Amino acid sequence: MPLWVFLGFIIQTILSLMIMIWVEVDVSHIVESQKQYVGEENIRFVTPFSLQLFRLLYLLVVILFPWLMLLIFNSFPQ
Amino acid sequence: MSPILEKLAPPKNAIIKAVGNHWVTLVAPIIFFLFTWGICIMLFVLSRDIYETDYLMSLGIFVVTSWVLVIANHIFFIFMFKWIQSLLLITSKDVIDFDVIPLVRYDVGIIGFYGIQEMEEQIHGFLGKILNYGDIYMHVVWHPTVREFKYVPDPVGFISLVETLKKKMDIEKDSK
Repeated sequence: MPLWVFLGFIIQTILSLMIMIWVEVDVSHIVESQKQYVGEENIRFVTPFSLQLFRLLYLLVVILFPWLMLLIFNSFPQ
Repeated sequence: MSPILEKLAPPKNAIIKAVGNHWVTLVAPIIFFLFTWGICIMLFVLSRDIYETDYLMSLGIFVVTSWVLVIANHIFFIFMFKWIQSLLLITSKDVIDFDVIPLVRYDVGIIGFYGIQEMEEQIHGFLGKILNYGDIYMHVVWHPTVREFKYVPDPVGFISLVETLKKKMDIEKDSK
């Protein structure tokens, strides 16, 4: 793999992780703010199972995606 | 919440129903996501095919495609979070409207039942009729514009519930 592709790949991964963390922090802020309106006893309305599932999926996709790209790249005939 | 606010705050109203946007709003992001992945997979195959004949072009396609996919992945998940976190909560005394998009928007509206003058629902289109979703318009006292809620599932049920709770609140108020 040429160096420029490798460097681009590293930058892409770091940027992607930064965006993921940024979104994740904002999603947590939104949940915290919503909690203030609905109260602790109604938390299940603002943090449903689907939200937790998609947070996990998002994390997995962002972490696994670069490795998938590397796998595809390395499967090219050398 | 700060400790002072926690002490002062009255108990929260009981939540009767939580209504999110209808799932039909997810169709466009899912199609966009699948379409982007489809195109990118085709471009990957192309870059693989030309790898030996045009090495630089192949690498260029690969790099650009992977950037496009990274952006598409993030956009898709932001839309999913928007769909899950945008809610209309009907409590015993008001309607709380959360209209949020992570990183972009955070709108909260609390509409007390006493302020609702008039409500109307509009179900437009073949899909709206079949899948039972529509728009709700609320005319609120002293509010210059009409509050609009889009893609609400079962708008008739929503309005009936709010009307019933409003009447119940009025009866309780009169009896005091």
